[in-house]
Amino acid sequence: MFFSMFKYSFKRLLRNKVIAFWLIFWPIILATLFHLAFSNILSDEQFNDIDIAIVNAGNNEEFVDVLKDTGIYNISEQSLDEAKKMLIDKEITGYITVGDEITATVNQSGINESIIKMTLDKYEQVSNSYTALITANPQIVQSDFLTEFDFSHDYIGSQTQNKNNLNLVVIYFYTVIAMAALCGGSRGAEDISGIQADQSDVGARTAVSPAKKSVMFFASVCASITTTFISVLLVVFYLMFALKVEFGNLFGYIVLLCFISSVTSVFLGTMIGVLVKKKLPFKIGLVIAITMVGCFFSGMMAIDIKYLVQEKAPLLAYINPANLITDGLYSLYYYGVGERYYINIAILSAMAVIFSIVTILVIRRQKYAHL
Amino acid sequence: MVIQIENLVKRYSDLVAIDHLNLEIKEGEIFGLLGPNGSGKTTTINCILSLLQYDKGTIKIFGKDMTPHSYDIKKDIGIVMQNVAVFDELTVYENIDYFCSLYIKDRAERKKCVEEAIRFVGLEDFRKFVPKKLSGGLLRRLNIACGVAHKPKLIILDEPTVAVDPQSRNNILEGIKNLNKNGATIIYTSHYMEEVEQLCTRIAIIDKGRVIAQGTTDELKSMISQGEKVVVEVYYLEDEDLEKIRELPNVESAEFENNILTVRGKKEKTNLSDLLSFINYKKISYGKIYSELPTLNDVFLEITGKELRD
Repeated sequence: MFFSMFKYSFKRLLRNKVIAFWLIFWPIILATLFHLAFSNILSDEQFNDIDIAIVNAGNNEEFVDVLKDTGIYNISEQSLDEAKKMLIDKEITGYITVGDEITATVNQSGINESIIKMTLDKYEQVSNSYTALITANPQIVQSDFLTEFDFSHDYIGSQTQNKNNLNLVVIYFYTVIAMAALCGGSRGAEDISGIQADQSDVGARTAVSPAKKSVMFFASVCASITTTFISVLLVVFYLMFALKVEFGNLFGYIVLLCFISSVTSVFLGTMIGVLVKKKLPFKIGLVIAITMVGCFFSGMMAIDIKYLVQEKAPLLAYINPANLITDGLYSLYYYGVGERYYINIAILSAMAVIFSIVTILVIRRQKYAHL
Repeated sequence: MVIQIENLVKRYSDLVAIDHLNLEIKEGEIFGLLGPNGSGKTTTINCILSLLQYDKGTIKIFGKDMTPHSYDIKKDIGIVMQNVAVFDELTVYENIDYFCSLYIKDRAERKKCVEEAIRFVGLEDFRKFVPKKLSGGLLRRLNIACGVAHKPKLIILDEPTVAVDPQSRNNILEGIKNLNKNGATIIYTSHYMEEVEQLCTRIAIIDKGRVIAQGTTDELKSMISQGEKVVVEVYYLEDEDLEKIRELPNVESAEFENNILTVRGKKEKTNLSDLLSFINYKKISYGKIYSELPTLNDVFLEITGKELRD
């Protein structure tokens, strides 16, 4: 019985064009519009490796290794003349001459030029520290101190992780995924309508059948979660492969977040379905409205709003499923798998549990005075 | 006894929708619930099915108390709602299969039942159609198929012919007779007295939530004082002649209005030949003439003082 119900619920959802629009086509349209609007910003903010040339690299190979380890430079070893020519032709941002002193030559001022200068300053600072220590205590060379001590340790706790840091525009696209997931709530609301006698004619027909309401409920909810999950993944794939939006490399965790988001949104819809005593179109409208307001506070219209809410009304940020989904994706992209990602996952899961318990309790206690 | 209802009371705030209603429906009957719109037919059905809470009374189906969790009773009930209750996204076959799957788990058995239901309602050529591609009549047939595919012992049809064309209506009524022949007990609600009269073996007339009369068609008609009604199209009639018609044997009443003379006879008596003799004797010119036996509407009219379709 469960499988048959699941099969037909799944078919119904696949064939429902209105829901397909809200779950798949609308997010794709919106994401495409964002892409068109932000494509310049994206390219401006995309961090590309800095092309530099090293002159007389053989004089200090350790220094060249340090530059390579930073992972932010495209390094080529050139003669001085060739390096000058490349700088004039703007093939490189600057060149570094390695001799008794290490000097950088650049043609203009800018972020990349500043980064080259900061790298040299840092190298000089660390190498001076080494020299000072060895001069004061020559035995230290024999010990493990120099290899174990981290001269570049940052004591203020904020540490850059990778070159994704500069791209904040991705938040707009993540809110689109949150929107796609939360629209799944409309499916949850429809599931409830289909099993409640006072909500629809089909609900009345199923209510007089010997099938248990709990079996019908879970069959249709499973179908809704499956279709919502597939829809969200389609949107993610579109953003990832068609629009080339950055998601990082943690695909499995993205899928997990999408799945939990789908579960939460469907149960949000079922809870609205049982608590709101109105017709189905009103409930679907309410789900869409909650979705859009949630996405607004997650930064869909302006990223600053997301941070403003987090700063001024943190509770709202924690109870807004759209924000949790957006923030989950953002934290994955920005920080990788960590506490912030798991907090978002945990709150979304807790919401799903609460919504489902409320739904089941109301359904079980419900008796109809009116149809 | 298939259904036993005792002292059923259902209130909507101050409105008493069902007022101490008592009914007994026997196995194999086609039982008609006849009443005007708002008389309480659908509310009664919803109470029988435990879709609605009621304030007082008992309802037994197949000798057992009916509750929302009486799954053993529900498996033998089929319901055809007043409104078409199907999924817009599923085809004819899928809709019937879905609702049948709520009753029958075995796939092979279910497939057989679905095919039979499709044949029964004559939707063989439309099995892959979605509901919005069907006409109103075909949609009603699909609605019936969804309700009866699992071969229930008790079938409740709540105004299944509302807004249906005459051809589909006849098809539906014939189908209901066949279901009954195959052993199902039928409860049929309608405000179309002709349908109920044609179809039902026993009828309860409901008004304001109360059963005001019940019995077979003949038993109901025998409850009223009037008999045959003769209607004559008359171009001119003197008041004196109208008085004399009223004095004819077996005449209960006579009215003349808008060139129509309506003469009602006494119960189980005929006055047609006397009336025709009088008209010929008086050389009254007349056009169309016909006679009617009492209808259920006359029964309703005499008991309540209003028409069934008021």
